[in-house]
Amino acid sequence: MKNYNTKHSSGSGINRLFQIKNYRRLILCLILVSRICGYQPEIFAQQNRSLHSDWYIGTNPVAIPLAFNMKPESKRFLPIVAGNEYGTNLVGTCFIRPNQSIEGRLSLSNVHQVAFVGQFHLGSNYFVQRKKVSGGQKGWYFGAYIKYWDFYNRFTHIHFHNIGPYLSLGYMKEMNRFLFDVRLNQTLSVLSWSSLAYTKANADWMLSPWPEFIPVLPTITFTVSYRI
Amino acid sequence: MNLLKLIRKTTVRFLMIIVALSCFSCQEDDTIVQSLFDLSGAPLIYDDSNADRRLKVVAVSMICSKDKGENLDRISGKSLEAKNRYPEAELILFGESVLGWYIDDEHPELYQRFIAETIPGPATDSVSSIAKMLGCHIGFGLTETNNGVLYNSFVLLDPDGEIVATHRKVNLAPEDILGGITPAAEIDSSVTMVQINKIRVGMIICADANGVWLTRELTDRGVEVILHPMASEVPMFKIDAGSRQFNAWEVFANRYGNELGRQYSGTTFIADPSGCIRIGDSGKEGFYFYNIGVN
Repeated sequence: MKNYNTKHSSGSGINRLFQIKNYRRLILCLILVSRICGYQPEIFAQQNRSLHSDWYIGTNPVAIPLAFNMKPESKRFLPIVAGNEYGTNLVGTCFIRPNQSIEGRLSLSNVHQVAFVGQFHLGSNYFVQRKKVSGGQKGWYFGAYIKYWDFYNRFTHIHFHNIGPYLSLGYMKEMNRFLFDVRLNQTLSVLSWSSLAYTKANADWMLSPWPEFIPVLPTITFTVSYRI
Repeated sequence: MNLLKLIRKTTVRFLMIIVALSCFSCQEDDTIVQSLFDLSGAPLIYDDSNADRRLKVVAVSMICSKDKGENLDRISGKSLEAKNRYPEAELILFGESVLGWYIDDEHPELYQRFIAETIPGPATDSVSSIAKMLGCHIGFGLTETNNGVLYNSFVLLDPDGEIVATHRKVNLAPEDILGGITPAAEIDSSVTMVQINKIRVGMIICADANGVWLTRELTDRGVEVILHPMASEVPMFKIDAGSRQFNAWEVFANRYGNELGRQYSGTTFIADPSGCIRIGDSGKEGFYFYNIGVN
């Protein structure tokens, strides 16, 4: 029989140690992500970096139908191939170097009749080949992101805030100003807090929202963007 | 070249239209389908140590036999054992439809009619005498028959053995429909709330948690504890989406074992309003006690 009571006895030394350990998990993940973000492979340093920035604006088309009524099975599993984005979503991408982009993703939608989720992702992608990607070519990349999401219960007016790092592996191709992007995302950990009274923040590993079914559950994201 | 421009323009317009369209959500259906976000996040730390209202609850996970008499004996035995283990317990909660199998796939409606009881009736009389003897509330699920109409019901008896409330399931599962169960209407009398120790206790059954109407009614009435008998095959999750949905403590009691090929998980737990599971387990019969504190 699992008894979780000890975790909740506020003020005890054991409890503080438990919380410190949890925060340490998140900090470790954040350090990992920041190291990746700050990583400058030599192969890129040898290139002539363009001062010209390419801006793209796009959307994840798979996420859009999730704002509407559909079969329960689709509603339950489609988010896995929609990068867990729902409904209205905008993606902004800027190539700050030919082989590096910065990306922001915003998604706002009801996830069901009771809850609204607003989420914002910010991160960077690094292309693993020398070829120029923006401006008509293609390439594999890996990325490191931080995502924030607010799970808002519209009936009780309580917010559940979350922030967590995730890693991506993807492939991007530009055709006639359109950028087509498909990627695999893996969340690592999460820090959560809430507007609910009497609650304290907590951090934990999060490789899957359904660890009981699938211990590691990456999501897939498709994005179509247009160069502006 | 012109054709290329036309394709470009059309695609951009198309993208703009679908983004604009998606601003309008269309989710009129009354059934909530849980999203991945309901279960995502780290379990929060909810402090009820200074709560001034308390309710000591035991949630029971039990194997159900096909035979009604055997199940009534088990309810008696489990109630005695629960009270013996936790003498301070004020409420003992059993699962959904515990007078028999949840569904007999071979003869679904015939079987439900066979185990159905009136309320009050012999089954409630039997449990009533135990509640009176133990001096605590007992809640359990059963198939109710009323003028030939079957309902999936949940009865709560007080320490005097009196029926304090009966809730009829509003949102039916496909198994209920196969069993000939009629849903309760979405009217005021289908919202079941009682006061125990000055705590507003709401009663729902299984898939009622997926109902938008009932969720709104209970949250609008400020429910503080949800009693939730269940017949479910789901494993135990890290976060309880139900208690976050209602902003209430959730006492979740389920059956365990194999019933004609259906493997019930026994997942039974007590979760606080932040969704953190305080006590519970899965994969076996068991008793789960918690002193709930309502802030």
